[in-house]
Amino acid sequence: MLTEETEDRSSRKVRKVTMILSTGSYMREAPTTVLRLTEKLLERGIEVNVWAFEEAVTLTNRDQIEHSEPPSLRKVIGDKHAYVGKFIDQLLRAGLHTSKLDWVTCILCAQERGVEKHQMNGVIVGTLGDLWKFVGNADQVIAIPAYR
Amino acid sequence: MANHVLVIFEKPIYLSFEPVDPHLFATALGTADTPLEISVLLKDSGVNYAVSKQQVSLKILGQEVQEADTTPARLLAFMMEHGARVRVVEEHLTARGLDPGDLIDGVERISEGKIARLVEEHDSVIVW
Repeated sequence: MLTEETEDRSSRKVRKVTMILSTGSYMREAPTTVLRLTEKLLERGIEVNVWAFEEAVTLTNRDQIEHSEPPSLRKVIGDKHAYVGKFIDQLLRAGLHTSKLDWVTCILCAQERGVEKHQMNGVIVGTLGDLWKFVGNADQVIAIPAYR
Repeated sequence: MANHVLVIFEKPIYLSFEPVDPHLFATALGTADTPLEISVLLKDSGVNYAVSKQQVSLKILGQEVQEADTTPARLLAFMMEHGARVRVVEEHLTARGLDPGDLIDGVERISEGKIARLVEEHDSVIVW
């Protein structure tokens, strides 16, 4: 049941959303969910901050490439498939002309995975301090748990 | 703007290559190094984090991976030292055969029915 309090909260204008993502690509749905949400939020003029940590720091590895599929399977799955970094790059570029998207990867997580020096252009290697500043400044925070 | 943040732990992570669940690590830093008022709620299997006498050891090829000798409970105690309130859901303790005497000092118990109110009282909620 809606109360006055919950109505006030739900009608609050959302201008800035922070998303927290810890899962990597290909085996989980969380990254695609975050990218789809980001696209829609930017379209609506909402500023988006993504804070990526743990396996999610690999999403923005600039060395990702499309790979060819095994010949015997190409009839059913096509010649090749896209990689996730391409879409993050496009969203960062879209952010130049719609609303702002900041994508920050955790430096500690990037270092332990050897991808600190491999981050795509436009991605900021940041700290846990950035996470809490994002949380503090956001109108809405969406955290996707690691097991999703 | 969010000043009061509720951080919920539902699924504990043990024995990874991190010294402790990275979500605990991130939350502990938030309590110590930021002006935000952070509260912790342990629900479902997350209640295990508040159990005292935890010992974490992970050996591979005879070498201890968990060099830091820390536990989730120590991180929770650290958070409380920095002003965070830590709550556990009473019914979820009972379901796991745990009783209040099994918990570290300072942890508050709430009933399941209070969770919604707790969420309402905070500006932001993070579910790990």
